[in-house]
Amino acid sequence: MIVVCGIASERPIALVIDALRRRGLPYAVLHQRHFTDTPIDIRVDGTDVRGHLRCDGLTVACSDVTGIYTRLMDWRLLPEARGADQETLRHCQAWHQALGTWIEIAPGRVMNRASATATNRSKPYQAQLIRRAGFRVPETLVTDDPDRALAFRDRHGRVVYKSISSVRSIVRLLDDEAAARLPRIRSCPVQFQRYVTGVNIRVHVVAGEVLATRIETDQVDYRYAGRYGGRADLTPWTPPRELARRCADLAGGLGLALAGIDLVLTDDGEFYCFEVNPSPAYSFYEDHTAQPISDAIARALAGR
Amino acid sequence: MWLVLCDAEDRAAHWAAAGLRERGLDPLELVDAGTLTRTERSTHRIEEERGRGEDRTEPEPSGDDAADGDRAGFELTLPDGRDLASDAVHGVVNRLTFAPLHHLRFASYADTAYAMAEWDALVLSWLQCLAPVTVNRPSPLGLSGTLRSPAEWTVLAAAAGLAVSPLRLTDDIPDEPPTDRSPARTLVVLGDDVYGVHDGESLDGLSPACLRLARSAEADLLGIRLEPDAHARHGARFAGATLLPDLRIAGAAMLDGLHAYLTRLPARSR
Repeated sequence: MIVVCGIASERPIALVIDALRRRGLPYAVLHQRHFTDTPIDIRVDGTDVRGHLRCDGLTVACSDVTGIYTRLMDWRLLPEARGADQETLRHCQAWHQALGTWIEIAPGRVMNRASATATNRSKPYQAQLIRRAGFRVPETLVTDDPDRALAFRDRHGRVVYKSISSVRSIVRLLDDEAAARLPRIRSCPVQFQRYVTGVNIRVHVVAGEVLATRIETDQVDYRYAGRYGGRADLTPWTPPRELARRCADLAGGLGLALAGIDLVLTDDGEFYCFEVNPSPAYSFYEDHTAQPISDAIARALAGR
Repeated sequence: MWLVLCDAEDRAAHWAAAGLRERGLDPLELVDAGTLTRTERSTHRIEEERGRGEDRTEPEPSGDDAADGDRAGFELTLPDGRDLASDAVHGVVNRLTFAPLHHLRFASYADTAYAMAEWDALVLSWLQCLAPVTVNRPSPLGLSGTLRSPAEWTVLAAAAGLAVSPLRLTDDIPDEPPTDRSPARTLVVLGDDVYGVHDGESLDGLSPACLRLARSAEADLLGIRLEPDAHARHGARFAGATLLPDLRIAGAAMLDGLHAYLTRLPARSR
């Protein structure tokens, strides 16, 4: 039995559900927004984890679960939490805590456990792990000193800035307009990075299987190309075998059964790794290229 | 330089800092979390390759024995004028739990949450620069190591060979936490040693399991609470674990052990 946790209509989850259905794999959906009708009762006895979940009217024994795909949103942002009374909020919190704990200790393949996804909370922290795995990372400066930031830009010519954490994570060029606001970084340091130009590559690693997409864009952050009137053309791409192996090793080393790795291939043939996304919105790439990422996820969850 | 990083009210950390100074760690700086987040100036670099940071003002690390972490470093000027540079740190007792921002005012909850996430992410990355010489090493799930739920600790403790009590995971709203009146003992694991247990005590037989638990939790330093149970092997069962044990319970032996542990850490600039 495979359990899918999150909001069923969200595109990445909907695609996984479709893929499981097409393959005839047994699955149940644990609707995050249905927490009031979805009791959790699990007993942890030593290393033994037993109990039941109610999913869509179906009772699922934890001992039957062999795979979990989870893409839970912050419970505090659920529509059901907006304006809810205190008791509902406490129940919602307790439900998510119980579910999150079960996901951490459940045997079988989990995409992904919180303990593995957390590296993305700090980009420079994760960059240190990425570099240790043998990838180049763009030279990075995190500072609250406007003069240092300007010196960094003077040296590299073009520099981007972005959040240090995973919150408000949009990449922008440090142009003159942004540079004029640098005195504001005094109370909250900002991350600056050498702007590495080239072709964007998104590599999805699904339990060791590698599916790569090439993105041509005229924007700094191709994910928001549409918002800023730019273009982003996505095509399937076959990575060199050595690069594919390193990507699989990187994801495996971070404990991620599913990962979206952001690379840039520079004009002189160097690969730089920007980030490993532990909860990738892979549907964006699948929808544009028809690459069978959700099918790979379904197969991996079934252990095939 | 040696560092003790802690929350302002962490008396055990202050006690450890004094004891380590007495044992010769010099200079040793105690820096609390609130001081770290009020830096006058901070610079944190991650270089592409060793030696590529051409606008560095400090000399590059030299010698083949430079740790991998040397490619990432920081320099901070604290509000009291002290300077901290990662390259100059020999060893760290790390007991940070969060990055406080009480000194800042925000316009909205969203801005507050953003700033908290940013500072937490930055302090985590600073600590990672020092990870090879740090007790405990940071984790993205806790600045002083991975924070775990009671169920996660229970599974790990059982796998390590400790007797455990069953527990339930439910969506029931929890009652007020019960007052703990059990006569529990806390043992402290540091590296390959267990403190707080005496030779000949029945608890001594649990030391191997305690060491296994600390290793599986990837914690160099771990406090393990054990409560008496006549039916359990060696007369005790697991009652909880903490990455921030009260080091004072093991007295001078703990300080001697901590001093020895820190001075055996891989050399950086020493």
